[in-house]
Amino acid sequence: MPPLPPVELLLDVAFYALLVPFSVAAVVGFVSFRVAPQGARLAGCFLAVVAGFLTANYFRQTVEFRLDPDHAWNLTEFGHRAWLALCGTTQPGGPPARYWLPWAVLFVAVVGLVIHVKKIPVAVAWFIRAAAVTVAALLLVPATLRGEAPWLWPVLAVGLLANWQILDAIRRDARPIWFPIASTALFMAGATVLIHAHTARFTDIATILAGCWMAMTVVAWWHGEEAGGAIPITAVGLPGLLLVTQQSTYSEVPLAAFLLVGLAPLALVPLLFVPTERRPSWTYALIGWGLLAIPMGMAMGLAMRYETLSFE
Amino acid sequence: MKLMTTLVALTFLTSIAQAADVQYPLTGDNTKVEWVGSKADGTHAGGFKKVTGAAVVKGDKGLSLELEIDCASLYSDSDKLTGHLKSPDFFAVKDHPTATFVSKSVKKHKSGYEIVGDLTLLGKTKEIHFPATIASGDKLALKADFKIIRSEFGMTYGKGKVNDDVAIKVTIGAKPEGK
Repeated sequence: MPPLPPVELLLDVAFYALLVPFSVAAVVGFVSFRVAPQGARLAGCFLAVVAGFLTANYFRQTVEFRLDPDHAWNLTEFGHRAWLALCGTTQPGGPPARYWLPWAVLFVAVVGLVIHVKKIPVAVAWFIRAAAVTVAALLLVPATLRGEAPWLWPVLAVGLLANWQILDAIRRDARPIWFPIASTALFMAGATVLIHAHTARFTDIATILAGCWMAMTVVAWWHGEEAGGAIPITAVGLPGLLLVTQQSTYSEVPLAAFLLVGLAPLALVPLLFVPTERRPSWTYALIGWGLLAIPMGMAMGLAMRYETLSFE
Repeated sequence: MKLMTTLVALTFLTSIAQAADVQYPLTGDNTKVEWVGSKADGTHAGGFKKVTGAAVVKGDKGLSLELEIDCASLYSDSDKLTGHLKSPDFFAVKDHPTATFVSKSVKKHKSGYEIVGDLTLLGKTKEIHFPATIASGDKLALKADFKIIRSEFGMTYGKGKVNDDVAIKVTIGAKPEGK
């Protein structure tokens, strides 16, 4: 039995990285579901997760949104740096790839909302999503790594798009709480892998997002409506988080553990062959969670086998 | 003619000054950069195994110091902690593989020396100053104990749980170049 973290640490994480984002996301989610018209509820879910994350981030300082913490955020500088990152230009003194993670997820999530709200034709929506995940992949794979492995960003873009399409196709007809529960489990599994990679900061990000999705589970269960407006946060944010962690940490956690969690939604492919009319059943939901549990369990098992935690 | 004489004299004097400069190459073998980090319930100690650079004793004009620290060579009293310290929570070694110190001035005081210079850590440069004892001759011996504020360099994670000030100890025992 590995040593358990100290009680103070557990309480600290439980409060700031779970309870705080849970509470804020729940309040924003309930208000938006009650107040917003039908079409805007997807945006409400997205806002709830973002609000929960930002509040917890205020306490945990997991993500830095400014290029230089000593200076105010500057749009011109931001745009210039983002353009260089997209072009794969090495930037001496520039931000690391992890800096772009929240921005990439925000960008893809906003694109996803526009596609939903505008009711864009399926083929066009596919094209727009592909373009959005390509931008995210280019931002998340740093210039040096692009030189070493030129295939990585296209493969990542395909993986992100597949994650997004599969999760979106399943949540559309599944029970309303299916997707929020799946997202909670995915981020918790991600947090388990990340803490074994010896990074508290990235573990916190995954835990906070799990807390937000727990809140969306309650909201979706209470209102009986799906809360999948923030799909890209899971479909793109989770693999992105695992990629930047794998690239920036030192641990014995095998690459497979990161891949298994990040691309776990691919295990749901068999569910796409189930007739639409049978998808709202509990059996469908249970099979979906069961399929996700396979890669998640393997990833957590690998992380625990190759690394141990130290709480000294 | 007067200008020519002045130029020749200046060149001569410069060459004398250069000849008087003694360079001491710095490596991980003769230079130790160690740290002690603290938190509410204890401390952790460590350092950096790989250091390169040079100290130059400029005749009577003092000393200049340039150090480059290979952050990937960081070690600590716990392997797991070493991994954590190398992560973006602290040193972000993969993004910022080196830290540097370049002295700007070394002034003699009654009780020793005061070194002022630029420390670059996590890609952020800040001027720091610290007291040191320095002795030169056959061997350059420098000892300095001081503290830096890690958040000033953007190392903000864990603020409130891990103390912001980190004790640094630099020990140099280097021989002149070629000896």
